[in-house]
Amino acid sequence: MSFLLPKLTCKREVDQAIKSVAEKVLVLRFGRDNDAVCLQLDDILAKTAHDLSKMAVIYLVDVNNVPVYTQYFDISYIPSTVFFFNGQHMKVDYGSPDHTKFVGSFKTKQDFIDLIEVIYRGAMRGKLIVRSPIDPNNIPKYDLLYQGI
Amino acid sequence: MAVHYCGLCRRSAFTGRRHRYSTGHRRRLREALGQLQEATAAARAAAAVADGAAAVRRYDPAEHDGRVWCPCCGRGVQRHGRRGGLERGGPTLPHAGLLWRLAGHRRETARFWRENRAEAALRERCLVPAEEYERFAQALEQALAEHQRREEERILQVRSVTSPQRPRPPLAPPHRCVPADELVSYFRDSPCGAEEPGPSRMQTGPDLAWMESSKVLTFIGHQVGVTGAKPPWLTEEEDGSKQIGPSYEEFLKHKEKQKLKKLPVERVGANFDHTSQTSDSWLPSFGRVWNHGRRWQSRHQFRTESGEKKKKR
Repeated sequence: MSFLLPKLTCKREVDQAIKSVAEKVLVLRFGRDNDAVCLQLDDILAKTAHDLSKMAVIYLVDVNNVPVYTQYFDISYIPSTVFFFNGQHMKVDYGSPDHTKFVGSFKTKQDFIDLIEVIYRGAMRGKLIVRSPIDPNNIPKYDLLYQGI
Repeated sequence: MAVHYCGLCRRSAFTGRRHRYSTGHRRRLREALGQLQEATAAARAAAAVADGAAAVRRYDPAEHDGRVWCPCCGRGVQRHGRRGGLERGGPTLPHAGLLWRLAGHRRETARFWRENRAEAALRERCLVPAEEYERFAQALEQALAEHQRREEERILQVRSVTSPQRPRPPLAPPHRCVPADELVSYFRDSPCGAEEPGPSRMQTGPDLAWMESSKVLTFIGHQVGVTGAKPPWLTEEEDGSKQIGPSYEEFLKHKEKQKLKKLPVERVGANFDHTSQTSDSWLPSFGRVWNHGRRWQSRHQFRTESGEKKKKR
């Protein structure tokens, strides 16, 4: 499904996307096109992209192409989804250890649509962190290790 | 906070000196400097390649009256200088006025850059080095001499054609020769002093010699064509394609702006500059997982981390 969404292939393009997307949620999916979970997530993103076109812009980023961002965003599991609004990073409290990004795939399309809507509304009210509306049972579980300890 | 009058935006800012970091001020500053840079580049390029003798031309108000706004000095600068000040009918010195100002306003630019926090790298582009101006002035002097010689030749030629039978006293040179350091004074507005006899004052009308025997009339000079300017009915009119009012693109831009005004002002990143140019090492502010402190601090943390890693290797 990844061919349905625009891709960013180098750091400069990612920079440009973060800077230029205005008054919309920027969704950056870090992963690999042939990964099984990534395929699942890409399917959800591609099918909702049109419905969300007034609230969100979705880009796919290959983790191997932008090592700087992979390191800076601490991406240790793929797929990881990061949200930006007007060049500012949006944190979301998923109930998982990491608030900075969503790790894994969403269970349903509606989960993703709800999340984007909550982020958009929160950002419009000036919130830099919002609570995730997704049912905790639908959020993938994982362990986060501090610098490989 | 103190009221701070911003000369560039032409309004008082009640936020004090914070005003100069506001988006509107930065944009105006960028536009003003862009225009000045453009004018400077054009003048310098013209001065560098100009074949001086060809460039010195007869003064034409329609073509040579343009002014360039210098935000540093806060005044308009005559783009082209004029031989013998503005009131005297000398030939045009192309780009001399602007170059003279650019070479002389080093202190004003320093003040302007300091007050507006402009990029230091741009400053050199709005200045002309003294030696370059010196070179330009010398070339201009030669060009002037050449131009004067040609004018005299032309006058002699015309006279020999129009009145070959009656010898006249030799014509005074139309302009006296001026040393280089006096070039500077050309661009200042000189008071309208005694007129020197020049080609524009030459009597070319009907011969009035027959009246001399009875009564001498006082000649007060020709009232038409004294300046050598083209009469208005001979200037070419611009075709009426020039649009009145804002263009469609400007209208769209305005509509976009109005739409932005409706959004809440406290939204995230409301005053984020989407058009700023950044280098390759730019990183967005990002609250990292193990980060404490402000979000932008994680960027510095990341830089120090990656720097350490590079050192270890």
